Amino acid sequence: MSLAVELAGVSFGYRAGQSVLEGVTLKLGEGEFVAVAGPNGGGKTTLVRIILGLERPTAGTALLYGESAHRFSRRRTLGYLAQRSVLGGDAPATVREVVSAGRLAAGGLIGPMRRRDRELVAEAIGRVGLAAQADAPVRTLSGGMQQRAFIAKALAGEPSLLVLDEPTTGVDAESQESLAALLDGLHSDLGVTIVYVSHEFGAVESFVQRLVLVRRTIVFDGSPGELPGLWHDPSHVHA
Amino acid sequence: MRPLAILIAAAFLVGCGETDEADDRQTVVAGFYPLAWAAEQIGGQDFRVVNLTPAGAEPHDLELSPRDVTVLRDAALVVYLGGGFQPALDDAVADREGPSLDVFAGDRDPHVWLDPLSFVQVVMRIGRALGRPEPAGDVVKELVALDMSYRRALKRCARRTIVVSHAAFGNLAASYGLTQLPLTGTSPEAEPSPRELERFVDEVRESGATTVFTEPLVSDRLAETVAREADVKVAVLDPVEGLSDSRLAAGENYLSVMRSNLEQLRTALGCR
Repeated sequence: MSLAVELAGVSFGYRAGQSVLEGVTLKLGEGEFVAVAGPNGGGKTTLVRIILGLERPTAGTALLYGESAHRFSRRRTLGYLAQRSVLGGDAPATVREVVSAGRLAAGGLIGPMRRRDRELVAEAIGRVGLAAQADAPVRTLSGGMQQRAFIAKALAGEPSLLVLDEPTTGVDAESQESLAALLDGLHSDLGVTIVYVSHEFGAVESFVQRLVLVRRTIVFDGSPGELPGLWHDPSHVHA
Repeated sequence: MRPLAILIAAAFLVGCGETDEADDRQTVVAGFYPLAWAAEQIGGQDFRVVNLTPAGAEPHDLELSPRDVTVLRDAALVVYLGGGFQPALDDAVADREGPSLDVFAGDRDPHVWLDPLSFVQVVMRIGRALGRPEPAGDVVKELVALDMSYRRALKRCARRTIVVSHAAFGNLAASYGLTQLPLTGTSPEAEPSPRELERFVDEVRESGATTVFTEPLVSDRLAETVAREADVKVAVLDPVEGLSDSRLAAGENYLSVMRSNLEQLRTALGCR
């Protein structure tokens, strides 16, 4: 199995003597669906930023598809939903417009959408189940539906790696479950590598093959079923 | 990861396919035509697809024969639309032991297949249940192309109200910015009273519509009365709930019927 992500001995600190991450070694294969969980402040978001090459580790190496992550040349193949991807109150953009923006970003050009672009936008909207809301302003949708719109935006770029950082923030429990089922479906239909980062992983526990718990370093890496009972509440995770 | 696919495989190993001696493929039972079409496209040669609703019959009226019950019992997978769309099937599925896939998503209008992009979700779910995501992806692409042709063709039209004999076209109307004016509710045989009929004729006149759409599987009498009273034409808009044997033999399928519906809509709405 070729690797999508390869971190070796990665440490990171904003200031000397205060490390956010220490000695993280992690390999994610292409096509894996992995949950990265851990307590708030445990370094999950920093880890994601290093995986995506948005931060450089202060020690160790980070590779994306075999290339140095921060110099990665095929950025358009990365789909990233940053924490709290929601639209400002007055933004009038419709679902189709938001998803189209994802297509334009992936194309790396500003210009008229070609037929293929429009098809990918429509396909992404259909896949996330927002066909009926395609021309509704995103701000009029529920939190769960907005989250789907942003997933469609990432999908429109035909990503090979999809990273979601706290995708369930502000989303009710039922929508969290349907979001997890949606991701499971996309994973099995499209073979896309998914990294799902959250302070809790209950919603995806039954779908992911692999769970990585982070608290400054990796404290657990295995299938959710192997996790000791106490650790199901990530606030109990000890470094 | 895909428990349904595993169950299907397990069913296969213990020797299903006893329903037809000449055909030892696994059987997928579909409640009615569009689901059968999708299952056939996705399953390809590897599955035998049985459509429970006889060709040309109205799916809401489905009654199960003893043979149907046997086929249902032995099927590797049943794909159906729950929520009371075919009440006889809801009951039969509840008695079944094998896996069943209910594609009803709680929508107000169950006719999801009439909106190509909404149908994408159904196709994906069938693809997963059969463990065949790639052929499902091919069907998704055809549905996306269909959506594009609807979107383009219905962009600039003189009118945007469609008068229909049964409220099957709500999803389609919502997706393409049309308004549906239905003669009856979501089931085609709930007939309106004379007073309702009179009010309906007024609504048709007020809407400026030039056409009342009927459908192939249901009596035209009511629609024809309204059309005569409101002085508009009658045309056929097919809810694709079932295709007769002769139409299937002539090579018609879900996609071709959806395309001919689009032509009917363009004519009736005066689209450029």
